[in-house]
Parts: sequence; structure tokens; C-alpha cells
Amino acid sequence: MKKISKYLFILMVGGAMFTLSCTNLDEEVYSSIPLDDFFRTEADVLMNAGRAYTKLQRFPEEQRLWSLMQNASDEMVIPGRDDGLWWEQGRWDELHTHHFNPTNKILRQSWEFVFEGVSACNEVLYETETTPIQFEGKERILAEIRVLRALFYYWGIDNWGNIPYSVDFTDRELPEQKDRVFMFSFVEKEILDNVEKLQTMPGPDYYGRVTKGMAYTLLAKLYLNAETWIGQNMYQKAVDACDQVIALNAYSIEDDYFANFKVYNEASVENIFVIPNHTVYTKDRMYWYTLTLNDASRATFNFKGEMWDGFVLEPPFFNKYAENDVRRKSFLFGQQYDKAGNPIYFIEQGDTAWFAYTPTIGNYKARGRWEGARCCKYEYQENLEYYVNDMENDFVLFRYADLIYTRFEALWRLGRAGEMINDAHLMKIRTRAGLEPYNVSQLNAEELLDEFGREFAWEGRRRQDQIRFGVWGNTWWNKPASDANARLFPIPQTALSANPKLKQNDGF
Amino acid sequence: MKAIDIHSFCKAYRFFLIAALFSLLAPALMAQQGSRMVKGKVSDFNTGESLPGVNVSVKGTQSGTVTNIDGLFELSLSGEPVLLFSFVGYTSQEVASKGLNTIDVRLKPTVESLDEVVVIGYGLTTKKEVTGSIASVKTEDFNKGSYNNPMGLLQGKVAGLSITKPDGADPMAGYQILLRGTNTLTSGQGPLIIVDGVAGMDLKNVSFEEVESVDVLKDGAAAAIYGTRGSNGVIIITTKRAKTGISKVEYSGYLSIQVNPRMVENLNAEQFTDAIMKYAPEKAGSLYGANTDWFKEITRAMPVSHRHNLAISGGNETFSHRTVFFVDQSEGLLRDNASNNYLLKTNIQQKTFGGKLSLDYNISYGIRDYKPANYDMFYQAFIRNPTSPVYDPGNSYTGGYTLISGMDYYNPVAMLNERTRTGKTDDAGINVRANLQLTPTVSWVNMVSVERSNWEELYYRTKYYPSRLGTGGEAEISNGRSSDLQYESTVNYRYEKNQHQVQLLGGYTFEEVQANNSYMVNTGFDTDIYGPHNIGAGSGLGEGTASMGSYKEKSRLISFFGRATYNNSDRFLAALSLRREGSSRFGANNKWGWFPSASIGWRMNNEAFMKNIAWLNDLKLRIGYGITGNQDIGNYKSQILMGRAGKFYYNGTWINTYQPVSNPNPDLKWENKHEINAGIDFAVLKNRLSGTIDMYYRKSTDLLYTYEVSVPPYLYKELFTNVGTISNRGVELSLKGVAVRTENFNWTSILTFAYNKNRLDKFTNEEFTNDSYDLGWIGGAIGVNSQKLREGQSLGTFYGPVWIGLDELGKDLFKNANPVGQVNPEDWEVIGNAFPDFTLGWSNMFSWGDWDMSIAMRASIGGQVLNTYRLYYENWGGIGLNNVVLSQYENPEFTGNARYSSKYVEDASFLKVDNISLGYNFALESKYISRLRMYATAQDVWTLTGYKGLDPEVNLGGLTPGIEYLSYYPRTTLLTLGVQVSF
Repeated sequence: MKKISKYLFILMVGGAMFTLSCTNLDEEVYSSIPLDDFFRTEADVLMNAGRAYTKLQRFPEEQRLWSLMQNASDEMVIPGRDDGLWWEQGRWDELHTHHFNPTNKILRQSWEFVFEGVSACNEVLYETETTPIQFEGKERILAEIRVLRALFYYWGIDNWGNIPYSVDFTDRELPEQKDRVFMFSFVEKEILDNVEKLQTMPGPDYYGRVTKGMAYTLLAKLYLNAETWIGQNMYQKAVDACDQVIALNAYSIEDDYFANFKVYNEASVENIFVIPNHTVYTKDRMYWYTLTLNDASRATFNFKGEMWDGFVLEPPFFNKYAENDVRRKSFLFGQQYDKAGNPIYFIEQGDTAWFAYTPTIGNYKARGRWEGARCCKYEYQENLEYYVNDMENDFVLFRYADLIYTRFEALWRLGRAGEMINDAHLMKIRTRAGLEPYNVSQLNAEELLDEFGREFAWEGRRRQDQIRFGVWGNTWWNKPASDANARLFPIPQTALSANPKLKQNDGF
Repeated sequence: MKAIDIHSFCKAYRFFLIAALFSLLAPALMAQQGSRMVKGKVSDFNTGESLPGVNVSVKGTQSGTVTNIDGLFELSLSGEPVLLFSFVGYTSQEVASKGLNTIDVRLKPTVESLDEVVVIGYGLTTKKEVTGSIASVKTEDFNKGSYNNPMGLLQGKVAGLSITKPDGADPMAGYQILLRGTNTLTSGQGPLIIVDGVAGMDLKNVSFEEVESVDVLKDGAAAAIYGTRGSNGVIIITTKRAKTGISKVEYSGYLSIQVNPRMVENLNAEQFTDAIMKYAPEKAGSLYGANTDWFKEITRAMPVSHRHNLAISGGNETFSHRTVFFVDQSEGLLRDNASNNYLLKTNIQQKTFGGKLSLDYNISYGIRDYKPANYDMFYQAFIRNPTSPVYDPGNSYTGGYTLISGMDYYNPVAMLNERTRTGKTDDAGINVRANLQLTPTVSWVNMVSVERSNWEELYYRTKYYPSRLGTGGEAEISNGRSSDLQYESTVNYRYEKNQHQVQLLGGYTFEEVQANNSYMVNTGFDTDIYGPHNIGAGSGLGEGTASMGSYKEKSRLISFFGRATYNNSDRFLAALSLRREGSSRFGANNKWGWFPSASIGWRMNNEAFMKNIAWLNDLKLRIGYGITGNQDIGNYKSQILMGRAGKFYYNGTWINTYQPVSNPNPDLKWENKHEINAGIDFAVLKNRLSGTIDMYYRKSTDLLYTYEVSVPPYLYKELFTNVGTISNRGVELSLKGVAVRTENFNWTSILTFAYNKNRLDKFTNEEFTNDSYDLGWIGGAIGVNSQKLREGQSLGTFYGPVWIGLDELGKDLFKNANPVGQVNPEDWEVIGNAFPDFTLGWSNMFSWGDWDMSIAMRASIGGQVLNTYRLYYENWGGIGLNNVVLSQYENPEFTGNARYSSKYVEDASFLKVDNISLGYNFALESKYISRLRMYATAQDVWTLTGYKGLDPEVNLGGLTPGIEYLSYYPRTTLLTLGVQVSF
């Protein structure tokens, strides 16, 4: 009896343990939303779709695609400073001299910018297409995201040429590498298939969004480069695409060149596609002021924070501007003045040092603090401080002047520049800069390339122009002649190791 | 009660309620078994003197009593259990109570007792019965001195357990604990700490004076009973418990000062001026004429700390307590740095139902008020130009401090004066353990523990704080709460017949941890008067630059486990354990795991053929195998969660966007560590020399790491997933011997030796083919990765150019240099490894009459450290704005620029004298004072090393061990004068 009771107890205790004990291990989430709980309303779908646009916001950062393309061109340079800063193991010099290295961080981050953008678009398209939530304008949203993805792929074609192709979020296989011909026709087809579903007229409700004007501008730029990229002359198609935008009658050339770059440039009738910025909401995205200016410029603009003083105008480029060219004011040079208009100077060891930026730079690897002209193309607002707020100016990706010049170049390449030479918009681009409009006899490759440089300096267009005009391999300031393979960037090492299907571009 | 989710806890509570009911009913049900009283006397085997305070316990349970002042005890027993008599300094003795009502015992004094109690997972055993690799350290072997954390007591005492303090003399600094090498890539490396049966307790709330013993479960066989938390070893701390009988008051206190501060040596103003004139005359503009010792400006001349620990204990056989109060106030070397700790803790032991039910209550409340250090100030003090004055009274922009412009270059005195940062933590813990003796051989233990902690930090930087010049002040308030609920239920069963002894254990545990925190930041204050106390007054709120946030998380860990141990006439020993454990953190497909272990031991000295070897007191061979896991990876790693992704301009307004926060991985699973351990325990020469040798091979599989993946198809370039394998193999030796034993002079010595070899066996699979990742980023002007994670290599392997000397111009020469004198990354070689070849610990305890003395030393042989101060500042390149290291001035021939190479990867072998202590015991004939000891201790006394940096003993944890970084906290020597009194 005693024994039985003992075993009974063991049994009871054991039984109690295993039947009553809790074995539920589901995670309870508090500060994020599990995917299954997310898509409930139209607003949720829009909030997910919007993230594809937020991927664009990183374009003008210090170490992303804009910077990569600009620093490899002859417009911008980051020389080593005489205090040793900004040399950064030569990673900017690699870009400047076209000795592109697959492990370069700016290169890698630019690739990530493009393909995280593609991947985000794929995810958004999948979620938006599969959700049972229906609402007015859903088809338009889908079309926007497809054209946005086409824009990311356009950058991929331009910079790397042979790129992974992925359009289906549910396909978990590593994507195949496709060449420029394939990707070109994909982008072209995506734009043409979706352009009619997009918003036709721009307006405050579609500001910063993919519209018909944006899509045709992208298409025109694609066609303009077709000869360089895939060896096909598509200049007439480029002209036709431009005509689609012009026919909208929605855009025109601003009277004031700088109106396009004001802090509150949303009123510009020239800008076709911008990345909207907010001083706080898009912090860490657009901070050119600190990239380019010396600390002494704080007094000019009433900034609060410290300036990093790295990105400067490449000296010979400064000479492309005539003295009376209004657009030369995109850069700071000469004596600098404080907000009240007084010249800025410092007393240093008994001497007066007048604060003046020189457009020239003595030593590429040891630049003095005030050497090199600085950018002030985008208007600077007061009180900027990197740790707190950044520039509110909406970053201009496409503007009407770009479209007009694209059409003009295409016609010039077709030998029909005369058809457009008296176009009011075309002439206005020159006259608002304080220059005479062109006549046909003035036109040659060098002049056009220089003019595009002056008009679109630091806007992210220069590399493409230099390649299309065949001068990319030339020598320029502290840059030796570069190989034809340098017209494409190498695929970053990290991307190659993550996807064995990718083959490195020739020459790297 | 909203904080506790009723639904999720219901089951555990229900279980406990029923368990409690059982506890109440069971004695009544068992009443027919009856209980009886045994009494007796315990005395010394040699002298016959009665021994007070001897533990008399029922073997295999936690019930028992303590002898009174006359050595007498009385204990009620149910059944016929074996009684265990144990007392510090004496051999424990087991007595079968069968048929006895009076038990008189004479205990033999010992040096090294084989019957010493060893704490294992969910129970106790004796040293001779242990089959796993367990190191048990008792009070008498602890390091002497003052510690902010009980782990200091163990430094150098346990072979294979590395205990270091990478943050030097910071009073907030904890110890970094590593057992048997690095076994993971991304998960936590800290061992599981168990204090009096409660897992994961914060050691700052454990007073080192109250620690009675520490048991370290080293191998897989020993730790497997702790399943997913066992991979990094388990450290079980037992504190002094309430005891029956004697009412006692114990006080110990000390006063410490820190002397001989050691910082990275730079040039003083005179040397700096001389160096510029000689080697960089073009920088003469950087000479400002003052003479500033920046280090002195930000440090205290002699930081003081004091501590008082008061313990009151007493009670009768059915109800006793031990209550401890301590105060610890410690100043840091940095002027505003301090940590003050207060703790009240009580342990109550209660016996009821005729001794069948024993209850053990622990209640503790701890407070810490602190002012944390900003380590960057020491770096700023190092680099700052010593000819620059501290103040520039006319400069209203800076608030009167000198300003020299430079990136990340700030006046450290302004940093110190223009900020206030204070924090506090409150920790409350309650646990109750109920041990119910169901039958003489079956006991059931239930434990519930609740721990809660709160913390808050207040931070304010004025408008003159150097990196914030030109803006208003910035205030930040952050706070958080966490709670940890644990429930544990175990059943023990003991069976004895003839030479067979079997113990069975079965159990269930439930743990739920919740944490939430929030912060708010505001800027642009009109005045600095508010500090952080009127955070709404800043203008940032209106301008959109203020920020705030909050976060909450919860995780759960549930397990079932069992263990069987077998002892055949103290000759053949075996143990088997199995744990089934699940964690909420893992992927839906892999929540649960199995963690088995098996070990056997053979006590050869009890075999007939060895019985006659007189000098051999113990010889045991052990071998064990066990699988453990690691779940220290953070919550929510496997799920698709949608989180905020920035704002998007939509139809004229900014709306939030949402995105999946990371690549999900529903297959996320445990890292498993398989370990085999073979060991020998021996004792010879009447136990005067005893020791342990262990050999192990441990292999962690399914290692978690953040792999780079292709985007698309993935959303992000990183995926947290199980791929790799790491192994560690090693040998450990510990010896304890009594070198001299005479009537009034004793010398005891403990020696430990450990060798460990680490290897990253595998890091790739079909999907992830990249077998090399760059790590160990050295930023700023250097910008290189100094280490690689590479298949087939040890972790912590340094790669770089091999430096072969200087050319005639004083520039670096490298092996395999390219035409411009540099080495292409593909030609970099292995230039060092952070891990030592072996480590040694040697402690000596002397007693001579009323005097006692101890010296503890540690050595580490082999292993390299990257000295980043030399790398950046042993050249003339930056002098002017920056200071340089003194070695550049003493050996000025190097004229090149800072370039990473083997020149800066130095041998970090060292011998350290950690601790010298001298004490005197006053022989008092007082009626009230039973013990009075005074002592003086010096800690961190002396280091012998060829390493040129601050301290060769740097952080060896994580993936990039062995780098001495620019941000650091200086080292000091700690001198302590203390007293211990018992009333």
C-alpha cells in the first residue's frame, strides 16, 4: 500500500506537470506590425506603395549614385585636403581617375540604391496586386511603381550595363544577368505599357510622383542614349517622346534659372520630376551645403553646424562659363561676404586672412582650405545643422530644359537642328543665362557638351553626356586617359559574391 | 496588472496554484508515514571540541539544520534518510539514520574535501560523484580585495574561464566572461548566470561579500541540462543563506583609493613644442604657448570609494533569516563619473509540516545611482594640442573655452563641464522556493521568481557643448522597465539498494521576459537652467526636430527536462540528461530542440587493485558528451514585420510609409554546440595535492550570421541565417596544493593552465559561397579592415601588409610592396591572432599565526593586439592639430604617414600581478566580538609585458577581438583598507 501511494504520487506530480504546463511559444509583437495584420485598408496599401518612392530619396547622398556619377565626371572632384582629410584611402581618387575598384564603397552603395529600389518596387507590386482591397486609382499606383522600377533599371543600364533582372517578388531564385539590349527593351516596354495609365497633368496632388511627363522624359533619355548603349539609332523616337511631353502644354522654361532650385521650388513650372525633400522628414538625404562649403561660409548663410568641406568644382570646368553667364553663380568663388554683406576675414597670427574661394587648386592631394569653387546652385536656407536638419529644396531629377535639350541634341544628331533653332523654349534657356541664342553654325559636339555641362552642372547628368559625346576616356584635370571599359562601372564585389550568376564587366 | 499579460501567464499561474495546493495537502496525505526526531552532537575528530554551525542536511534535499553553539542539533525526519554533515574545513560525512535516534559525529579536518558539495543544474552532488567538468570555487579560494561584481572573485581561479575588464577603472564596468573560446558568431557570448537558483540575475545586485561558492559548469555534459542557454557555460552562484541557531551580525567595510592612473602617453607641451620645431617646423602656427595637461584637467587626483556590507542572521529551526544591507559609493577617475549602489536583501527559511515542507524566500531591492563616463573625453584629451590653453575667456560663442576647428576635435574640458548625465536603476526581486518531501525518497520543488527593474537616464548638453555650438541646448530623457517571470518545478527521486544508488530528476521551467523603453529628445532651449527637467521648453518640438520613441518586446522560454544519475559503490558513476526546450525567438518551423547529454566516471582508487596505494587519495576518470544551444539572438528575427520607412509626399502631404523591416527567415533555428570532454580528477599525499585535467573538443553548428544576399530577390542585402561551424579544442589543468603546513605557517597554492584553439571550420554552403568577410574596421584616416572571417582560420586573425623596417628616408618598407610602395590587399598576409596560446593563473594564500596574505597572478602567452593609438599617432603627419604618442618622440626616425601594417600588431603576452592582500586576525577574548580582521589590498598592481599600448588585456569577445580602440578608460591601481567584524 505504501509503495502504491508512492508511485501514485510520482504519477500525479508528473502528470500535473505535463498536462498543465504552458507550451505556447508564439511571439507577441508590440512595436512593429506583423505582415498578416498590415493590409487592412486603402491607406495601408498606399503606405506600403509609398516606400518605393522613399527609396529614391537617397539618390543625392554623399555616397550614393549621384555622387558616384558626379565624381567620375569632369564636373566635380574631392581632392585630398592639406590636413589629410577627405583622401579616405583614395576611394574618391579611384572614381576621379576611373580606376574603379569593385570593392569601392560609393560604388557598392550606388548599386544597393538601384537594386534595393528594384526589389522594393517588386514587393510593392506584389502586395498591391494581391491584396483584395480595391480602390480608385489602384491601377495608376501600379503603373507608377512599374515606371519607377523602370527608372531604377535605367540607372542600372546606364552605369553597369549587364545587370540582374528580377520582376517577380515571389520568384526566390537568384536573378539572371541580362545585357543592355534585353534590359533596354524591357524598360522601353514597361514605360510604353504603363504611360497611358499615369496622371496626365502635373499638379500639387501629383508632385514628386511618376506622371506622364516624367515617363516620356525618361523614355526620351533612354532613346537618346540608345546608340551608345545598344548601338541603335533611335533619335527620331527620342524626338517623338519629347513631343509627347511638349504636347501636354504643362511645362515651360522658368524666367529665372535659380527658381528651379529654391528652397521652396515646388512652384517651378520647369521641373518635371523631383524628389521632394523636407528639412526633417528627409534628413540625411540632401546635405550638399556641408559636403561642399568650408566652415567659414557659415557666416554667409547663417548655418549652425560644422561644414565638411569636401566636394568642389573641378577647376577647368569653371572656365567653361563666360563671365556674364548667369549660371556661373551656381558656384561660390572670390571674396565671401557675411549675411549683412561685409567681407569675411580672420586675424591669424597677426595677419589678416581674407576669406575667398579660388576656382583653382594648387595640389590635388593637398588642397588648401579655401581652394576650389563651391556649389550654391540650390538655395541654402538658414540655420542648417547636419545633426538636426537638412536642405528642404526638392531635388530635381528631370526638368523641362533637360527635355528641350534632349530633343535638340537628337535633332542635331539627325542633322535637323535647324528645325528647332528658333524654338522659344530653346532660346529662353540661353537668354535667361544672359547669353545669345544659338545659330546653327555655332553648333558642334564640343559646344553642345559644354553647354549641357553649364546648364546641368552637378545635376547628375554629366557622366552620361561625356560618354555619349565620346570624351569619357580623355585626360582631364589630374585624370589620365581611361580605358573604354571604364564607360561601365564594375559590379560591386559584394553583389558578385551574393549572386554567382553575375559575371563581372569586362576589364575589371 | 496590465503589465503582466494575464492570458499568457495563466497556465503557469494555474500550475503553480495547483502545485501550492499539493504542497498543502501532501503532508496531510502523508501523515500516516509519521516523523521522528533525531538529535546528536558534532565534534572535531582530533580534539573532541564541539563544532557549532555544522550543516546537518537530509541528503538529496534542501532540508536540514545547523548545530548550535555547543555542537548540538535536533532534526525531525520522515523515513530513514541519509544525513549529510558538512562544515567548511572538514570532511563531510554521511550517516544512515536508519534505526538511530541519536547520532554523534566526529568530523575530520581536511585540506581538500572530496565530499565538498558541488552545485549542478537543479540540484547538489558531491565532488567525488561529479562526472561532468565542473569547477567549484569556495570562499577560502576567492580573490581578496574589493569588487563591484562577484566575478572579480574568480579571476584566474578557473582554468578556461577568462574574466577580464576591458573598460579598466570605470566604476560602471562589468567583467567580460568567456569560457573555452568563442563558440558563436553573432549570438551572446556571456555564460548563463544563476544566482541561488534564479537564472539571468544582474550581478550588480549580488554583494561579493555574500558569495559562498561559485560553480562553473564547463562542458556540454554538465551544461546540457540548461539547454539553449548552456553553450557559453553556466555559472552558479550560491550566496550565504539563513541558518538556524546563532544570532549573528557581520560587518565588512573598506575604503579604497585609486592611484597611479595609466593613460595612453602623449607629449607634454614642452616635448610638443620641441617636436614641432625639429620635425614639423611648418606647423609652428599650431604652437599656442600654454602648457596644458589635458588628462589632468578632466580627471580626479585620487578617486575614493567606500563600501559597507552589514549582514544580520539568526532564527530557530523552523524560521530563520539572513538580511544584508550594503552601500557602495565609487568615484571614477573621470571627474564626473561615479556609481553608487545600495542593496537590501533578505533570505528567510521556514520549515513547516514537521519539516516536510521547507520554504526559502528571497527578497531583494537594489538601487544604483550613477553618472556614466564618456570615453571619448580621454581620446580628446590625448589628441588635443597641449600648448592650447583650456579657456578663452573672451570667446562668447564657445562659452569661454578655447576652440580649435577640426573634425571630431573637441575641448574635453568643455565636454565635461557642459553636460550632465545621470542615471538610476531600481531592481526588485522576489522568489519563493517550496521543497516538499513527499516520501522519504521523493521530493518536489516549486519555485516562482519575479524580477522587475526600472531605469532612467537624464542627459543634458548645454549650448556650449563643443559639438553643439551655435545651437540651443539638447535634453534627453530615456527610461525603461523590464520584468522576468520564472517558474520551475522539479521532482527528485532517490533509490538505494545494495551498492546501487540512483537519483532521478524531472522538471519543467517557464520563463517570460518583457522589456519596454521610451525616450524623448528636445533641442533649442533658451536657458540651460532647466537642464533636462523641463523638456517641453525647447523649440525643437515646434520645429519638428524633437524626437521620441518607445519600444516593447517579450520572449518566452519553456522546457521539460530529466536527469538520471547512477553510483555503483563510489566506483562507477554515470549521468544522463535530456532537455526539450522551446524559445519564442525561433522560426515557426524550428521552435523546439532536444539537448541530451551523457557522462560516466570511474573512481579507480576505489578499485581493489589500487586500494593499497597509500599516497593516492582519489583518482577519477571522466568522460562526457553533451549538446547545448544558444538562443541569445534577440527577439522577432524570424518574422515578417512591417515597420516605418520614412515619409513620402502624397497628394500634398507627407505620409508615413511602411516596409518589411528585414528579410524574414522562418527557418531560423538554434545554434547547437556538441562537446566531448574527458577529464581526470586526482588527489594525492593525504589530499595535500589535488588537481583536475580536462580535454575538450566543442563544435558549434548551424551558426547564425548575417550573410550578404542578392537584392533582388531579397529585399535587403543581409539575411540572418544558420550556416557555419566553429570548433574549439583545448586542455585545462588546475592544481591545488598545500606547499607548507606547519603549526602556524600554511602556504596553499592554486595553479591553473588553459590552452584553447579556435577554428572557423565552415562558413559557406550551396547558397552562401563567400568564404571570407572583412571585419575589424579601423576607421578615420586609416580606413581598413584589419581582420577577416575566413574558413579554416581562427577568429580574430589579423591580416595586413608585413612591415619589414624603415628605408633610409624613414618610410615604411613592406614585404611584397607594389611599385608605389604599398601592398595590394590580395597580397596581405596573416600578421597575428588575438587569442593567446595559453593562459595561466597562480594564486598563493599564506597564513602565519594571526596574519594572512595572498598574491594572485595571471599570465597570457601568445596572442596579438592591434595598437590603434600607435597606428594613428606614431607619426609626425598629424602633429599640430593633434598630439602624438610619446614613442614617436622617443624614436623619431619614422617620417612616413600612418599606414596599417604588422608594425602595429603587437605581441600581447603579459604577466599581471592582480592582487596582493595582507590581513591580520585579532585574537579577541571579547564576549561580543567573535571575529575581527583588518586587511590591506592592492589590486592591478603590476604588469610585465612587451606591449607598448595601455593594456595588453583587451576585449577578446565578439567577432573582432584583440583591438585596443581609441576610446578607452584608463587603468589605475586600487588600494583598499578594510575591516571584517562578526558580533
